[in-house]
Amino acid sequence: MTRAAGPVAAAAVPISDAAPPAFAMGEMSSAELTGTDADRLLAGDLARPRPDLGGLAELAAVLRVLRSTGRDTPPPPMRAPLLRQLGLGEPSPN
Amino acid sequence: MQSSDRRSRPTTPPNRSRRDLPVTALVDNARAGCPIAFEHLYRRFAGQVASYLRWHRASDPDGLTNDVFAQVHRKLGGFEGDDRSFRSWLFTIAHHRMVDDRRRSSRQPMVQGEVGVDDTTAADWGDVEEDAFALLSHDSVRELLGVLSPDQRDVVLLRVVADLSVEEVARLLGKREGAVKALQHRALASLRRHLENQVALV
Repeated sequence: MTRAAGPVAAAAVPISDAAPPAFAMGEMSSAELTGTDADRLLAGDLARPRPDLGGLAELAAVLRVLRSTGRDTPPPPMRAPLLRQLGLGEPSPN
Repeated sequence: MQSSDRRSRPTTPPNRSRRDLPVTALVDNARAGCPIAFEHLYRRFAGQVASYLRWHRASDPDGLTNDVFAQVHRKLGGFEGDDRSFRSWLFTIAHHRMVDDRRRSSRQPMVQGEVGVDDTTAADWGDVEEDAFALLSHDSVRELLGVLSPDQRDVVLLRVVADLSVEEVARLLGKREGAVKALQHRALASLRRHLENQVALV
């Protein structure tokens, strides 16, 4: 089966010739979170504010709280069943 | 699959602390029957697992973490992979335990509520985030997560607390990567809008 040449040829524009997304050049002021914003927030590196977008600093802070608990929470004590399973015995009452 | 010969020999180099060992070496040692190696795995990951379960409002996060590691210990012989895949495998077990716990407890996992963030404004982004960070309590974050659907919450917590990639989360949840990306984007957009409204009300 042969594909139609038109749409395929039109889609095959080299990336270097394509215009970058408007928001990447700072030309578009959107009041919505973009996929790029989301990716950067999740990576913890949204370094520049977007004044048009309220709640972004607070969202970054929320994600920071979540991330810090994942990294900094101490392990809970091992309980008797797990200690027995590992053959480590139970902790001394003292 | 590891060879039986390899499994029978602990692989800890004599002059290297277990704290610095890659996870695969600890897994090899634990599989060979070294409880101390398993204890090091526990120390390295149990806090993160407990945190993940706590944000999901598990009924007994510390007990459930113990259960997760008991299951990890039982199934360690069947594990294959590197450090990243161990983390992914561990959180797959933790996630399934959390889902079981949620079904058992049959309670609403989250409630929607007010979020305690300040509307401090400053020209410097870092200061704004620092102020917001300082004012956030864990309770307010937990309540904020209540605005998300269960799927969105799963994705955010697996991405941020468990530190898994989109690909790993997709595999864990049995979804396509595009679906996970869409869920995380909608989740963050929803949280952002909610926070913006909270700030506007103050």
